[in-house]
Amino acid sequence: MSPFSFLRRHPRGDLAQHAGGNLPEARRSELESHVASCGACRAELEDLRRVVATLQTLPPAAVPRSFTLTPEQAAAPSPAASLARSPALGYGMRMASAGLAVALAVVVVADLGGNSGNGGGGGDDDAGTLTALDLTAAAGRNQYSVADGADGAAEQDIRSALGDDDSASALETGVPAPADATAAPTAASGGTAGGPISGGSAGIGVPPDVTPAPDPGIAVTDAPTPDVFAESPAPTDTLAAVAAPEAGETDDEAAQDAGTDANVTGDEELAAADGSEALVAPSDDDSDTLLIVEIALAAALALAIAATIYISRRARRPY
Amino acid sequence: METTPHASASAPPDEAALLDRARSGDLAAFNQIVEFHQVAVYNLCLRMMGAGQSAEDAAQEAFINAYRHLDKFRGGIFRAWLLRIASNACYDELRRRKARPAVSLDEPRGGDDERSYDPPSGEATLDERAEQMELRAAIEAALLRLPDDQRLAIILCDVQGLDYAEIAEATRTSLGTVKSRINRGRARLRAILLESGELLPSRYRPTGENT
Repeated sequence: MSPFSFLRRHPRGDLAQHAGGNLPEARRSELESHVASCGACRAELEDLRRVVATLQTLPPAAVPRSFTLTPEQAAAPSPAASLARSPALGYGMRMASAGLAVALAVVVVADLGGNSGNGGGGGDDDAGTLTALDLTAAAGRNQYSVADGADGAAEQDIRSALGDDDSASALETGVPAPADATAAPTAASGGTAGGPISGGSAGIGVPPDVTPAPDPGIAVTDAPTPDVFAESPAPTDTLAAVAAPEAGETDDEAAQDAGTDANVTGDEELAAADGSEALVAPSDDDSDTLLIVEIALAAALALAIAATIYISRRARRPY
Repeated sequence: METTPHASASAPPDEAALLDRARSGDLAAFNQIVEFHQVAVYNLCLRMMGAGQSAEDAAQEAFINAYRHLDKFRGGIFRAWLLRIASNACYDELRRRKARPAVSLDEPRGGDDERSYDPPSGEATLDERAEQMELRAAIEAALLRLPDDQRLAIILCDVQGLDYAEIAEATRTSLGTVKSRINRGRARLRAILLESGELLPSRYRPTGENT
């Protein structure tokens, strides 16, 4: 309304609103006086009116079929959709993940305890040791790091807030093994091998349509190379479970290299899905059983974490 | 705002009673509600995602979800609640498409919903009518290029004829957000149309008649 209104910026928002006929009365007269003196705005208003009028007369499409619910649709919640949205299931999966982590830690401690009981120094016992098993699952953009320290405080070792994007994303540094290996307080008592198993895609058990395929490069750029062995202070009979996440190599090659038994290759779905390789070097028959248990538990834990992530993503929908 | 083809009525007359019965497990009562709202829900999905199976799937999923979560509806406008569930189903599908871009490239976008085309009544000449149809097709295509939030707001406001308050309820946003999404969406539609050389009034101005 001011005499200098032509100096103002063109009132774009008001124009668009006015075109739909829903500009409040107070602003309308001001806009109209501007439009009267501004050709550009007049043209724009005319266009916008045409756009709105066309939108308003878009004919509704007929429904291709009736969407009335059948008793089956009403009754049986499809397992994927409704179960996955159940908060109880999400809680259950978290508990399962924690339980598996504890179990894994117990086995690792038992393994380690057997060694230190026999030899103490760690250099002369027969049983292999696996002192730190570092499991990193990167699901989509989230990375979850679970480090099972030899002290058995597994629950605290679940350092990821499952399903929480923000806190989880802070754990991206969990990928390189040495940082996690040093976090295990009792690592000094036995041989040490940092063994990262990287759950690259977390595609395990998760329907593919909800898992954005992560860039395979993300999880492997900082991957420890086999010289982890060289850095290990462990004696020669130390059993090292190392999964170096190198996307290029298959699990089969890894298994052959390491000379593991068939049970280990049974986990290859995990490793293959992860795009990582499992380098397992058992030195002793006794350690095989524990190793297999450890790997199985790690695989189950990865599955549980992946399921938890999936559920927590689906559970966010508020109605 | 003028009435649009969609905005006949926002609810069946006995909706509250039907909802009560549906809540206590009466599927037939719920299906009456479905029949009343299915054109609006399906058209929302269609405009959000373009023609194709996924619009149909999203609409069906919306009704299934609505039935299963009926106890979560606590008053307000039922249609707004239903359209919110439908738009959530659309967002889910669109997110999936973004995760797997190959699918969205194969998906026909804005294609075959012309089958229900209903010629505008009135005194328009044949030329004007052809022009109008061209503009419609162009706008349908341009809608699909809007950001999802703006597209949703435009569909609810201009295509389906909801008022700002109901759109705010359906999208769980403030009136101000609704308003700005609609305004930006309209301006963007115009820009897309001008860019693609569509015959908006302002195009005639500088060069005069050019068709």
